[in-house]
Amino acid sequence: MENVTSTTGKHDLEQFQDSGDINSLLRFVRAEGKDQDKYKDAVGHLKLVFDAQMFGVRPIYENLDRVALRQCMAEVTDIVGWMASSDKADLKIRAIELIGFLGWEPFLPLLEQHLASEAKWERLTAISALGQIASARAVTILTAVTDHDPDPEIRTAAQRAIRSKE
Amino acid sequence: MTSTYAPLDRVSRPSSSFANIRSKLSQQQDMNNVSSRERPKTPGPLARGPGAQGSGHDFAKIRVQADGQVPQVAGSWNGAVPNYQSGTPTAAPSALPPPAPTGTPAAAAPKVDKIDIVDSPTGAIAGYPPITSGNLNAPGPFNNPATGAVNNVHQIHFHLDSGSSAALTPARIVRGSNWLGGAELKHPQDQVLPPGVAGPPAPGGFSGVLDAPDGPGAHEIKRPSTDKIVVADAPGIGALSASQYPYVHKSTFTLTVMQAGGAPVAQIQYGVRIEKKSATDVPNTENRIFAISKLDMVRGRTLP
Repeated sequence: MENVTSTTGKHDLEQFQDSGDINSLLRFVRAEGKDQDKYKDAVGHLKLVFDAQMFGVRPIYENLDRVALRQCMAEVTDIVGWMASSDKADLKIRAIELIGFLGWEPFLPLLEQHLASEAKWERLTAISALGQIASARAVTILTAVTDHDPDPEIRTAAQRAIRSKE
Repeated sequence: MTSTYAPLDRVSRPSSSFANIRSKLSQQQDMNNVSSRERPKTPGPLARGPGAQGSGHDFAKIRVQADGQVPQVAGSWNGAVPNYQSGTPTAAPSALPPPAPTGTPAAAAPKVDKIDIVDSPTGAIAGYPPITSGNLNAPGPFNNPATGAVNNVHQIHFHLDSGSSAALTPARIVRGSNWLGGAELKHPQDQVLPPGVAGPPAPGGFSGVLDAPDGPGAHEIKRPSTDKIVVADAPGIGALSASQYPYVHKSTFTLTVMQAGGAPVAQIQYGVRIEKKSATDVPNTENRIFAISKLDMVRGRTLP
């Protein structure tokens, strides 16, 4: 787990996670000594997500440039992780939806964390994202949910996610 | 604030499964169409003024696919609904009903006899998680003096007179625009035609003909009892700087609850209008939600 090295950086990150404000995100990146230009590029490629977030509507993920996002995968991965760590449900759910859209297998550990959440909406969204990731491990995770989760609603959602892969 | 910093330090480059992922997601993209309805018969939002009622469009529908394919004219509304599932977000937005135990009688089909817009704390349900701007547990106009944020927080309550709310899944679409200092930002944006396809592209935004899927996200859905399903939302803007005034928001939402198989059960269409002329324009010049239509789609009737 990476640590935040500066108080200023921590404050800026918290502001981003509280409001979705990308200027706070970029200040945090700068305070942490990261390559700000690379993160600016990544934020630019995610602009429609942050715009929609700002206006309280669902982003049209299909309009994102997958190739461009893949080219800045490290930065996108960081940003999505910071969004997913927010206490604000709308920012968190955008992160999980984005993970599902991107379909990047390295996100699976993060989705497993969301599957362990106490919030049912978070688990349901994570299950849906898992259903979009073309990976044997994603199927294994979903099968475990189907077999062992005590909540029938969650089990049914996992079954549906598995079926969507078939 | 208790947010934690949890970067994905274990994340590495993607595996060679990318081709499969992209192929699958490409198929999914085709399913996530942006639908459209007939062009409004009224002038555009800028010509209508803040007091305008309704969206100006009827139930006739045209569908435009996100990939720019030729729209299909569905004709006048006849009780059927567009395939909202094609526009449903990638994340499963709602809870699914538990599987019925074998050997038991079939559950009663869900029917809705009332749809209420709750736009004040009176009658609102609680238990929604925190969001970045507004409070889904406290419907009504929301203003944040620190950021300039302004939202219309509301809850849509569907009351069932038959069946269980667990058997219903909501789907919401939106057509709207935000004006910041006079500059319009459309949602969805104007259609982008593929190279070689003759125009003109279908216009997006409030006065356009395109709709965008708008969830709802699973965090916006609650089933407080077997006879009620509630969908909350808070459209508006999360922050405003001095140069972005006046802020105007105009949108039309269509929210449908469906059975698991996709059969529509009930639908409400409603408008949201916000106008905030300056940082001190609180209460706002305008900040309201209003119903356009409410339909019981099982029994083919309008609802109170």
